[in-house]
Amino acid sequence: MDLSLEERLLRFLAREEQGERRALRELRSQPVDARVVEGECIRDAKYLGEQGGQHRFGVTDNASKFRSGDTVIVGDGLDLEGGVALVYGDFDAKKGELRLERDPFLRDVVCDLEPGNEFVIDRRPLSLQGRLRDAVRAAFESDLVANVLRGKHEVGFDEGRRERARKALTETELNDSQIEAGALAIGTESLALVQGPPGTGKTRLLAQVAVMLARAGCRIAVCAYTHRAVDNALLAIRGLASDLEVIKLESSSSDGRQRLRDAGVSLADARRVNLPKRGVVVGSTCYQLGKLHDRERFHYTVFDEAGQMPIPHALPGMLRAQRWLFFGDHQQLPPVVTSDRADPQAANSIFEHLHRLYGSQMLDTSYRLNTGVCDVVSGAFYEGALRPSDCAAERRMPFVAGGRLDEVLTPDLPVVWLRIDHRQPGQRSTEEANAVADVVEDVVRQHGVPPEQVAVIAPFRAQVRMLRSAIQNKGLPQGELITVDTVERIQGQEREVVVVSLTAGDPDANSRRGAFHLSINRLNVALSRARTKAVLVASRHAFESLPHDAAALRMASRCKELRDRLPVVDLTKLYAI
Amino acid sequence: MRRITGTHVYSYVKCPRLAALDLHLSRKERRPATEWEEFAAKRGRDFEDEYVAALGVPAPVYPERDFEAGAAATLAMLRDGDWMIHQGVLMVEDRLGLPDLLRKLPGESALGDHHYEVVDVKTSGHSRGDQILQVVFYTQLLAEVQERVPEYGALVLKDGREERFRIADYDAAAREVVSGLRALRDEMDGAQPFLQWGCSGCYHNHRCLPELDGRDDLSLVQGMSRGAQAILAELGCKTVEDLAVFQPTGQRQRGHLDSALVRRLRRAAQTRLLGKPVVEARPRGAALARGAIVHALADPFADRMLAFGLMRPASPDGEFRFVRVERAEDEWDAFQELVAGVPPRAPVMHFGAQLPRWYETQAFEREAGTAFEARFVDLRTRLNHAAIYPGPVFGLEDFVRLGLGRDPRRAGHAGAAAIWASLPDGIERMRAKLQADLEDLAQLRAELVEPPEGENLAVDAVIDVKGAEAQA
Repeated sequence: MDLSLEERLLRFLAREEQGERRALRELRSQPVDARVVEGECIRDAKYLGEQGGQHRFGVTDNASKFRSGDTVIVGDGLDLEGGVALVYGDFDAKKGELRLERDPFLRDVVCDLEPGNEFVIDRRPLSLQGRLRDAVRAAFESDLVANVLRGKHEVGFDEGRRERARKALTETELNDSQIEAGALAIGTESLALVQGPPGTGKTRLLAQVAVMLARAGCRIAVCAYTHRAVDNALLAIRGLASDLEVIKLESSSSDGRQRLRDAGVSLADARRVNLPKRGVVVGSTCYQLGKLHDRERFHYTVFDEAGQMPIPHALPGMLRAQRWLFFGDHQQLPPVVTSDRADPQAANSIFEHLHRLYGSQMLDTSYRLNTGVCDVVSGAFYEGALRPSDCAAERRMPFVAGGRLDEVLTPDLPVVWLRIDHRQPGQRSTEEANAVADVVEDVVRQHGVPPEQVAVIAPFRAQVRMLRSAIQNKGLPQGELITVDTVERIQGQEREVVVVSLTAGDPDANSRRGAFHLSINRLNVALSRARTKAVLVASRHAFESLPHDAAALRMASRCKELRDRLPVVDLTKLYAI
Repeated sequence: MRRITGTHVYSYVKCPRLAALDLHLSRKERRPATEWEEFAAKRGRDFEDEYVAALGVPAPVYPERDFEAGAAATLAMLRDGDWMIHQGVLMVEDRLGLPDLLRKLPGESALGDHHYEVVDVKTSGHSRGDQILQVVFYTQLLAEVQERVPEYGALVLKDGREERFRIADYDAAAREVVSGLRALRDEMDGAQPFLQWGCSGCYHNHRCLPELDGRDDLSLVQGMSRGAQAILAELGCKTVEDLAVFQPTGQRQRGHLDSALVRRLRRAAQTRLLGKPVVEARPRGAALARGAIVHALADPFADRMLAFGLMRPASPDGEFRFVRVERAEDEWDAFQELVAGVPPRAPVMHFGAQLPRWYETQAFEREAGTAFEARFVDLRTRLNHAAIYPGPVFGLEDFVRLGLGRDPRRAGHAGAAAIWASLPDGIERMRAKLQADLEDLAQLRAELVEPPEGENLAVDAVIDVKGAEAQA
């Protein structure tokens, strides 16, 4: 039986909710060491006491995936309801000290931990059930939104407006494909999709379009899946128009407020705000936008990073306007889906869903990637359609010969595979961490690349932590400015030099991880953060997996294809023990 | 020199050792097929024959096993532009492919103003990686013959549905497999045996399993992977006995493996020496005992359930209920009738993904709610983490054998259920099999998942290194 899209979406949401609950239930049925191996638990955490509102623990080995803000429970590892509820703060690997904080959303939490005793720290579930189901139902009660989602809408354009926009955009510094995409966005009577491969100025174009529309008196909502993406879009808008009123609907969990305030962006509570009637840009996650008073409507809702936004999450934003502009790239990170048997039609991002129905305008010039990086990225991910801009094409990483790793860091190899044939099955590799730290040290000390222009990316949080520690041990000046994170946290950013640690080197373990570890979309995002130099640190065994699942095999095969495109420097003897 | 064929590609994806043995040994050296294996293979052949017969597709004519003549006859048909060719012979250098179908498409090639793509007929319900790689392997041969790479390949599945996929998306993997096969052809021991899912049904297991036992191989330990085995071997830890007393003092001494993983593997090795499962301490979760266990016998070829069984409450002395499903359209009602008496909100236990997958599909088609699905608890996952077993556990049979010390096949093999369906005493056999399986599952739950108070001991309290050393 063919279910309607509405039913598929509602089922998808129900299954996601169930999947999350089931995953947690199953996780909580595992013994401590199994949870530690999964990265969902820290054992043998010795309580050192409270200091300045922070609970300090001595931890010798932290292989967890926890990151700042995650909710945790501290107890004996057996009674997962009866422990002390706290929030993960940070971990100082050098001191072996973990700091947890009070949960601001919980009152009357009694911390009765005895200093000197050892505890187990587990993940605590956080219910985020919101208005998504209501939004799906409301979306399908609206003929316009429903028809757009079903592919039954005919996209119309105001040709006069489109032409005027083209003319106006020509007077900016935008390139031809940006002008065409911008004119399409401004001219649409309903929706437009702009595909922005890495460094093609997607957010810049989004900002330009939003500013033009707001200056024409429109109310614009700018939405994204994450606060970080919303903030980036608002800062770009503010950078173009310091006189424009720009408001961010804040949530208590959003970070980076100071950055917004410094740029002149006002912060407001979605439930209390009274928005200006005309000429304003309001930034928010779609979820927050749904909290606005029902009377609040916009002329346009502009979605950034729409390739990461699940369809239901986009609906509260779509319901607030009658024209929608989607900026994204379905070749980069897809939405996070929990259920392993999610209905593919419902689990797509809003961008991919609409791209299949209506097509999109691709921005074809990268201002980030130099020729060498662009050739690899374009060939592997965009069927050769992406090219570097004139100003980016000839850029080279600063290079001063005489370093230990010159054969890796030579600008003659803009993208290089630093091969270390280890076989680590877990989510950490010391071998790769040591190599990455040496590369970073040479990049900064020998070749003079500023630390803030270096990013290190890994698929697992446990490896990220190990990399941070290894780099910290190098004692680089301003080493704290080096970005070390997972690929999810770095989408939308760029650096002069990017080092990617693929981490796991056991084909058995990689096959089990399926499409996550060897995701071609993730590799695309990781490598394409680099302006002039990308180093992929990986074991040859990482590429050897042959998953039974067809989708995972496709990813594995495309990763093999990418590997075959890269020049190799084999340093196994130096780093693999 | 033995030619590399599509069957080798298929084997390699399953297990490189299997491919190595296929390349070096004759068919006579395989163990004899069981009754249900022969039954399944025959149904697969019949399905393909029927499908192709209905198409009325010509096949090249050539003396049996004279593949050079077959390749020449196929080339002639390709040049003639037959709309479809059955069992064409594609032979290039050391590779030989016999794709089920070659389908003509417009577009220039060395054959003229047309070219071909590969279509393979399979009896599975969805396309798998090994099947896709086989089609890509055939396509690579075809591309050399017609001097054009077709954009797509296709699989016809057992419901007649055709799944198309882009060749470029899988090309690199297929090339790697061929190069791996060439290496194995040169050296059979390039792939060592490693105990894994699929070994119990493999036609070479009479050769590999004793070999693994004989050398006390690390893959006999629960949770072992090839990567971990390689690292441990480099550290001089090569056997289960070595691992049971492996107590590295630092990161370097443990080959940079995670300490928690080393601890788990060591305990698993000790448990193997102990010869019986050891329950692990786990968080206190909601009690499962008052729920029910459901289990099914299925005919995977026909993609349907043959019978359901239920044990309620989920304990060894629970009441057993059985329902035979005569027709596919009765499956849903039969299941609903069976679970009608299970108290609302009580957990519904099952083993593995088969039952929830079936339920999800049925519920999807009937627009049923998802509340019942939320009650499913997979005993496989629970059992996996409930105890350390004296060997790797892949399927229910392993849990029963290693967890309870019982013969999991005392009421027959679940794979034979499709044969029983046509026998006069088929219902009785199915009832007996489901009852035995449910009793086993209830016993496993009672002994391992929710052992009586006081028995939920940490493994360290039961085994210690000295004990293991003494045994070793």
